[in-house]
Amino acid sequence: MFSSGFPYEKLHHRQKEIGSRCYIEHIYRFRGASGKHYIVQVEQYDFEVYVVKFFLRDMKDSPHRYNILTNLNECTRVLTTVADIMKEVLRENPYASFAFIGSRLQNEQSDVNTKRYRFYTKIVANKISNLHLEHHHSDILSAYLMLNRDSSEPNLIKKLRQMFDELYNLYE
Amino acid sequence: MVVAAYNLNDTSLHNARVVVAVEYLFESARARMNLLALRIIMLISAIPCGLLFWILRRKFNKRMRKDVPELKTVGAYQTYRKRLHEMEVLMPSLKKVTNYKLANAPWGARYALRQMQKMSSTLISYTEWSRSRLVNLNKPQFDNQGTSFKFKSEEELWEQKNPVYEYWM
Repeated sequence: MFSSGFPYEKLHHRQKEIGSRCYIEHIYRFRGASGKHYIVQVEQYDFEVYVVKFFLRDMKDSPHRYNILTNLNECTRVLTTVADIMKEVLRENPYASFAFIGSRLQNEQSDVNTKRYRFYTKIVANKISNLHLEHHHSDILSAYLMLNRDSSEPNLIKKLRQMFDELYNLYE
Repeated sequence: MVVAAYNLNDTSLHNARVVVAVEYLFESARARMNLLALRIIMLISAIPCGLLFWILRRKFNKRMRKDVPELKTVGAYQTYRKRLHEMEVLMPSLKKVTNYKLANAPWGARYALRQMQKMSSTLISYTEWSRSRLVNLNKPQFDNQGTSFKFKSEEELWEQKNPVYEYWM
């Protein structure tokens, strides 16, 4: 398990806007052992926070791209590849913090404490230390924050909460 | 000739295991032998044993505050944490040794036992000090009050961690 990731490449990055807020979207791509391509979307927001999302390239136009189960049995290597990309981001920006949300499965009714979030939380506990990144989690939002200890931003979590509320209308 | 670097964590664990092994041998001998045989063995082995602990403790004390392993990389942290965990497993046995009453020990064993107690005491202090180095990882740097986020401490994460896995970062 988690032996090695797949080779990946960075395609491009571009600035995007939601309302009055801007962020930079970095797009990476890799091919799994199944032959299917995956897209990893790393969104760079204010306060050096990067939100990591990934999905099958075939599903890129689907509104459910974050919700489906691929059943391709290559989850561990996919996650290892995503971690390799995160490591690259951290190398390029030593102040980077990360966040992710565990989207609900198609048969789940609620976004609270989703199965995907619980799975990712277990992976993170096993594979990402808190030496450089401080871990915070929210079962209500199914969200996980890994905040860089070298960040000196005061009230960072509250600011992130406010920013994501404005961007995505998250409710607690 | 290649000389291995003095690794404080590995040495503390090695020393702790020696103390626990000698303590175990002593208890086994006491349970199985008659008093005369035990006293003869104590007389023969007490001084070498005591000297061994004296030498190990002196060397360890000299290095204890100087050769502190740095926790800058994830690999160094993981190794440090594993050694700390292994030391904590041995702590009850080390504390048992420090609680032995010297006056009740067989005459020949008192010198060795005194040295063992001093070594155990040093190792217990070192383990507690090692643990205190992780204090900053167990209290939140970022305030999450007023949000639904909860802080996960280093201890909590370590408890959930499967020792088979290496960290990505």
